[in-house]
Amino acid sequence: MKYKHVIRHLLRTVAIVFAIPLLTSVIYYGHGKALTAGLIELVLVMLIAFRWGFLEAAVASVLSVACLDYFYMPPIFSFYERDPQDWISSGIFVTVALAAGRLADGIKRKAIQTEGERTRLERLYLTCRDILMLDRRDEVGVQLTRLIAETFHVDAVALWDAREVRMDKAGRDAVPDDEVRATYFHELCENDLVSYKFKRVLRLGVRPVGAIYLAGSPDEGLLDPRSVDAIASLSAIALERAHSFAAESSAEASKRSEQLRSAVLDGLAHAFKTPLATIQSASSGLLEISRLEYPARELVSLIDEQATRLAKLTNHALQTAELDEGRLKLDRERLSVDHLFQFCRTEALHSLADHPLRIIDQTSVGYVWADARLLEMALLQMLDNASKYGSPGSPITLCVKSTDTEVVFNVWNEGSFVAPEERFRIFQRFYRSPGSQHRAPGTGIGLSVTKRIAEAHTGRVWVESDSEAGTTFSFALPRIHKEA
Amino acid sequence: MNDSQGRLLIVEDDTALRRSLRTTLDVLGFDVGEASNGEDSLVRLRMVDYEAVLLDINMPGIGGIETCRRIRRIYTRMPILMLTVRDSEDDKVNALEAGADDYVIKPFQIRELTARIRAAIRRFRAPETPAEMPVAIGTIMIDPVRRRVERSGTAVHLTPREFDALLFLMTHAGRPVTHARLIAALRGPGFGNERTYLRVLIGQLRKKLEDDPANPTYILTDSYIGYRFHQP
Repeated sequence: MKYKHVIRHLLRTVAIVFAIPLLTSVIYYGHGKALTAGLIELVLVMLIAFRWGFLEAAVASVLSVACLDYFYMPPIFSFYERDPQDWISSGIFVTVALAAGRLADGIKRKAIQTEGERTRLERLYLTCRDILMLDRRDEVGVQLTRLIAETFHVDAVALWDAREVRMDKAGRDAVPDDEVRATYFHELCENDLVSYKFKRVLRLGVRPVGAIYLAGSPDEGLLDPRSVDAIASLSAIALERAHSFAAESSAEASKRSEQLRSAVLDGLAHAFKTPLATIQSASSGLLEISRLEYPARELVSLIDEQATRLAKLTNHALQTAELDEGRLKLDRERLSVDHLFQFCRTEALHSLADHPLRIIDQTSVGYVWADARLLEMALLQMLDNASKYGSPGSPITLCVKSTDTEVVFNVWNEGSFVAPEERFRIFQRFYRSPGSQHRAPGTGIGLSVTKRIAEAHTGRVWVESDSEAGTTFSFALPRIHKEA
Repeated sequence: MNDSQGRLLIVEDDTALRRSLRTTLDVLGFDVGEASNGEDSLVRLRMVDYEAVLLDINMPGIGGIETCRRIRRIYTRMPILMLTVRDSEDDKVNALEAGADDYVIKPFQIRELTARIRAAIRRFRAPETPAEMPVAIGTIMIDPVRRRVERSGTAVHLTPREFDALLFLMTHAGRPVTHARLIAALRGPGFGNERTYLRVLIGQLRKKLEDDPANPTYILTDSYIGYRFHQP
């Protein structure tokens, strides 16, 4: 390729060497004046500089001075100059011609560069626009590589998506997979301007997310290190965008399915309420009005107990339904912690069964700013949970303490180890840990209620569990420094 | 008249529940009338001299709360018991504000329901006590004229606000008193946070009157609704 370049220069030089003497002699024999010949040649030098470049223009200007000297400066038909003035004018001519050539060449180069920049910008703009229009339902890598190959006319492009562990390629040339992966693992950024190959690790911020490999030809002139940098950034953004869309739609889907389940549950609970009331009023009425004998009394009692139990479950389901997003109204007030403790002591009594309850106010919290009903519901739920899953007869501790930013209620019980992978999921609605179905009665709703209530107060819930030290559920409310 | 436990009108749109209630209460000695909606109940009340109304809160037509309001407008002393569901505190408060005397949460035990109905009818039949008469319930006695409170015969010192609150609760013994009504009865200047204020006030009363303020036997809390002075 370099060789072709040299040939082209040579051919042009030869053309100049023939053309300028010919032109000068034509002007001379056509009785043209020295000034005319000089100006025409100056223009010619500028044109050559503009079209072909400075090298050719320099040759032309030297040659022009020589020809003008030969034809016009006395003694004529000789390169010798008698008058020092002629030396000066020849020198000036060369200087002016070279300067004009230089300027013209500069302008030409600038124009070419500007044109190149413009094309590159246009390509990048097109790429940006097309990336925004990628089809979310289709594989983004496939679309992206095809897009880059088409827009930048590259011979090969490969994109490595590290999160999806996936390689996508486009273009007619083969791509070495290992090299692309190595680019990611070694976080490389290489430009090979000889074989025209570019490698970039894709980053978002400082985090590497993949790698891109581009191979093209210099003739196209569409690839340069800066464009490749831009393509790499755009690809990283496109990948990230695709990932976040995917994550969002899966979150949306699971939210929808939970909403649907809640709706079904609420609907059922509502539908069950009235028949249950009838069954219960009938069974309790039967027990009340007649002196039933042994088997009948036993069976009616059974109906009555189970109807009561079913009613409780139904109520529980309905109570939690109102905590769904958008339906939760907070009615905050200044609540004394003593009052909450007293409430827990009396209300949790029957659900605690044989567990003794210890209550500790570690830091004399005094007051919290919360919705009384919801906070009480959350605390009861945590105590209920502890009594269901704690080792039988073991104590349960309710402890409150305040930190700089939060008021934290901890409910501790012995046993009931929660595996690390379950610690987040047990707060999801309807989730019941695989071992718990047979251990305790429940609907898998309770803890999700605590979570909702905490979130409604812009607080949080979490669990710490250790097979030795037992399990602690924590419920934190943001601390209000200014007392209402 | 007293051979019967009382004449009771059941207003309930669900036929099965109405049938079950009617059968049971009938056997237990009540004279039971039935209505399937609010409009119907107003007609029945005009025909028979009922002593109490058991009114479902969720009914088609004018609905339980509006029915309650209309009954109260005509029959100022008629005991009205509302049948409600647990998850609607607002409904309960609205019903009490509309003039209901008490509420029973569905599903319920017949024993609890009949106890409430009997108490309501007993209050209805009792001659109206003049407002200035002393009231004694259990070991607590309050004398509105001398503004004196005794617990097991010993005088208890109450602040004026505490006295007013206790008087209101005791004259409405056995019935729930909503936060709003209690606040109105105290007729004080607006308190910053009314419920917190009431909680403190009731806490003070319990300390002075209850054997174990943590487990009150007289001044009970009706969760999220208000308070109730227990009438044995």
